[in-house]
Amino acid sequence: MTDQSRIRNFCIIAHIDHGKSTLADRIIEKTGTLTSREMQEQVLDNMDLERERGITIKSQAVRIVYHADDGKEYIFNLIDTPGHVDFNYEVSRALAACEGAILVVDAAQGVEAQTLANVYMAIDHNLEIMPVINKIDLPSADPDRTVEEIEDIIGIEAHDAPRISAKNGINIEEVLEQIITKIPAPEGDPQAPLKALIFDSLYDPYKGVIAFFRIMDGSIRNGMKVRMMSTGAEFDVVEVGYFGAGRLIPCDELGTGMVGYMSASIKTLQETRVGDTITDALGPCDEALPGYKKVNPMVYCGIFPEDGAKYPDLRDALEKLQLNDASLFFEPETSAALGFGFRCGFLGLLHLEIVTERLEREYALELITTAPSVVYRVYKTNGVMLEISNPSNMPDPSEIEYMEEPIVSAEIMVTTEFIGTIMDLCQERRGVYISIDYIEATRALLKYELPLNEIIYDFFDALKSRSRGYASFDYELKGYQRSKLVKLDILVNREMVDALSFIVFADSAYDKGRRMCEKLKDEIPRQLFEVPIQAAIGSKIIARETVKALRKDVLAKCYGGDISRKKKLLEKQKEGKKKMRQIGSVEIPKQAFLNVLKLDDE
Amino acid sequence: MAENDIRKKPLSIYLHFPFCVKKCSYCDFLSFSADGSVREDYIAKLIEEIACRSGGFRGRPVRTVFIGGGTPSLMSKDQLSRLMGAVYRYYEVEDQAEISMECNPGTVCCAGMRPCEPARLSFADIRDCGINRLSIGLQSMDDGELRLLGRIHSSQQFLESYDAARGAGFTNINVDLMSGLPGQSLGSWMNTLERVCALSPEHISAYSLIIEEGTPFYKLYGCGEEAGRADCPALPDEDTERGMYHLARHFLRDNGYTHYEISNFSKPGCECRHNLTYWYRGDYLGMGLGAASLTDGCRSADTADLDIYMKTKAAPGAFLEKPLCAELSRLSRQEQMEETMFLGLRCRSGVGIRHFERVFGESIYSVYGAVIENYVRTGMIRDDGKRISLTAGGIDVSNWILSDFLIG
Repeated sequence: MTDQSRIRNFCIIAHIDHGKSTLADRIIEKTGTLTSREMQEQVLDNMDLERERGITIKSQAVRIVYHADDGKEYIFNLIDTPGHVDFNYEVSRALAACEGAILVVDAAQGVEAQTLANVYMAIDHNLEIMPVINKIDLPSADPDRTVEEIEDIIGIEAHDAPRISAKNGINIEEVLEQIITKIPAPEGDPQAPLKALIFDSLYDPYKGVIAFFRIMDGSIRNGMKVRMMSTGAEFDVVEVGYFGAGRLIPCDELGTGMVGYMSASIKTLQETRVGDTITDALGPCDEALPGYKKVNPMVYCGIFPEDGAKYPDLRDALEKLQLNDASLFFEPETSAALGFGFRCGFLGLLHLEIVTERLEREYALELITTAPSVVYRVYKTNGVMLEISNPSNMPDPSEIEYMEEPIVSAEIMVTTEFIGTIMDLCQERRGVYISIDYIEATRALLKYELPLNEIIYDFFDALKSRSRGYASFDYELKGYQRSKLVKLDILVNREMVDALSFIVFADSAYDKGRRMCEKLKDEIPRQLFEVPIQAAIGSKIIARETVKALRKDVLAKCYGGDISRKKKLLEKQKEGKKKMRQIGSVEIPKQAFLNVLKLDDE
Repeated sequence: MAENDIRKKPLSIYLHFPFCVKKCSYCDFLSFSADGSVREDYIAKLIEEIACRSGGFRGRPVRTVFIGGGTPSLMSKDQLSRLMGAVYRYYEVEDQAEISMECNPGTVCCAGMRPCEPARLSFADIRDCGINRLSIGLQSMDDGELRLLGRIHSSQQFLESYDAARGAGFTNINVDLMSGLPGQSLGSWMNTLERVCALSPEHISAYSLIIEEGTPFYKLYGCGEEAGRADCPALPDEDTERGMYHLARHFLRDNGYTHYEISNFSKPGCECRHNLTYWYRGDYLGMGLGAASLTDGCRSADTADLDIYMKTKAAPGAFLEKPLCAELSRLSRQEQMEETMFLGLRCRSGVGIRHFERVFGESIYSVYGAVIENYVRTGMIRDDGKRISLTAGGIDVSNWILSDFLIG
């Protein structure tokens, strides 16, 4: 077995697009782990979706063998981490598996909001931070200034940080050598009972659940009996191994400080959770590793299958996704308009988009999603407090004393020319100004507190477009705050359509109600009678539109040669009627829901 | 009774002549312009088909013949004469058969009115060939509207043709009219109606303009958008358009015409028997390019491809095989029921309750009770115990209603 002193476990953290994955590619390439011919661009992002969007969603790990300048052979375990703020929990578990973190900073962009967030998290995990300055090939690169930023803002030494171009493969050797000198070898007792941290898991149709772990103490062998400490479930290990780039390589045993995987015929999806501790069932360790927690979703939406018969398929798909995504939450939900489906919770909007896209793509499901919403706190007159994410569950207004909504503290990094327009944006979103810090003459860090429901949809897009892409943004949940909120209902032909109900800030209700009525009016096909569309708060109608009755739908000519075509047209009309959801006596096409629930571009 | 004996069941014949001088802006019929030799070859091939297919219909009395197009009045006298000759030779045409032909004003030679090409048909020629009913495509008495439609004639030419037709002895004439035209007003529509009624034709077909895909009108007015440009007047709005339809209904009724089908009006007894065959699902044999047939429970249609049609070698059954025969399907009982309803309801007298039961051995209510009740309740359908029919309001949204008569 490898000498523990020659192991280095590290991850790479960075702001989006600063070059984290490209650096990972170069390290793999430089150490010969994959030949150039075998290299696919950004090989660690092996999910199609990730490659398409150019972002990392899942953690993946790779073992690299490096022949150092000192002549010795080292084992590097490189753990790739998601870069997006939504996936902080996954990032934190990946960090817990490492001793050090390579911090990649773009020499042209400098230190940005998310850089800070990830660094703080790494520091919290007691990781050694090894800064690397990337993209020195760009004309706008300013490595010296970047070094100063790192030292001033983050507070770590950066004067000897390697200055590299990951894209062009410049200076990668320096990075590899510094990994050895700056990042400590893992500690841990090989003689102690097995204690391994699961930082990721994967479902394989043949092997069942595959757990990825870092061994803190002890060792794991083929055939041994292990126990998951949070659930108590026990399994016989069928296979252990480590990671080549993009493939699993089995072996007999893995020792302390090593990163690897195991499969143990784990069939059920609930039994391997990220953050859990694996131990020896016959001689378990005393305590599980700290930090295992159930994450709280920040954003919810309803997901319904277009075809009601596919409900079991949707449920299975969500269960499978949840396996690889411990932070995905779902529970059954019904809607009079949309039938049987699920209320799902996500870490954030990107998480929501990725999950729905995976459901549609990997599981070939056609879905209807309702608008994203957050969890509100409702304090009833009888003293009971309810947490509501589904507007249908809101109690009658007469029973509500007051309501609270979740608030986030947000940090926005912006170039000075856009400070004004970004502050306007935050004001529009009911933001409360906290502070502004000038990082240097041309950049500032704005701090605002904003209601979560104002930023969950298109705030990020608006931020980017108003700052020509230069602004960056990070947030965390601060707590709950009292707020004037109301439930906005939509009635079609005087019947309430529950799928279209919203909880909104009282002052925005009229505007939103009016816009929804207008949109719906365009979406609902004319019926044989006039259809009123109304927005209401409680029993008070606050906006109204009308769909005029159908006046003309007749074929003037129908002779011998027209009959076949006529029949086809009538059949199409009949099919069209079938596809519509019957809301009382009005037929509403499914697309109408989608188009109305898609929040407008501003 | 003759109707119950399949071998003696009456038959209607439709013949298609797909050639025109030029295409009108709204037309999506199977028609195009072509030179004389193409037309001559086509007539010869059509006559072959007439002979070829007669084998299956020996002994069946032919009650109506209809020559449609295109512009059948572009045929020469010789061509028309040979065509009708073939029909008489191979089929048993009844003495009282209704034999119709479509004409375009301005293509028929009006004796004494202006010099004609020698080959041009005259109304006397048409009568000589056995035609006893004329269908003249006027569309509008407003010359501006005629130009917009791309028609090749003026209102004056129509009046001359009409006079000449009467002069040649035609006692059964239909005039085609169109409402809902771009730039048309209730006033100009009324004017057209009044002037045509003054001529007292036996039959008037008044159609609402349909914007069909693939026509020049579709480019201008497709997707329900109104152009509203200087050279391109807007379509009347929906309320005005329906107003025109109902205006025609009332006006024509007040002038002695019976409204017997959605777009068709006639003096009593002068309904077009050929078209009634379509709506009441009598048997009809269609021959020529794209012609449709319903015979012995099967729907079929000739190819719409002129090359394929012209290449077909005459032999019994040739015209019923692919690729010549574009469509051939035996109708199921359910399909027959559906057709009975969506075609029969086009007629103002609708579908007879006892007739339905006799034909299908099942009460109309057991099949369509719920649908009928729903629409009776909302005033779209009338049920007088003997017949089920659409109300005037029901006609306006008849497609919506008729789609509910499709089963399953």
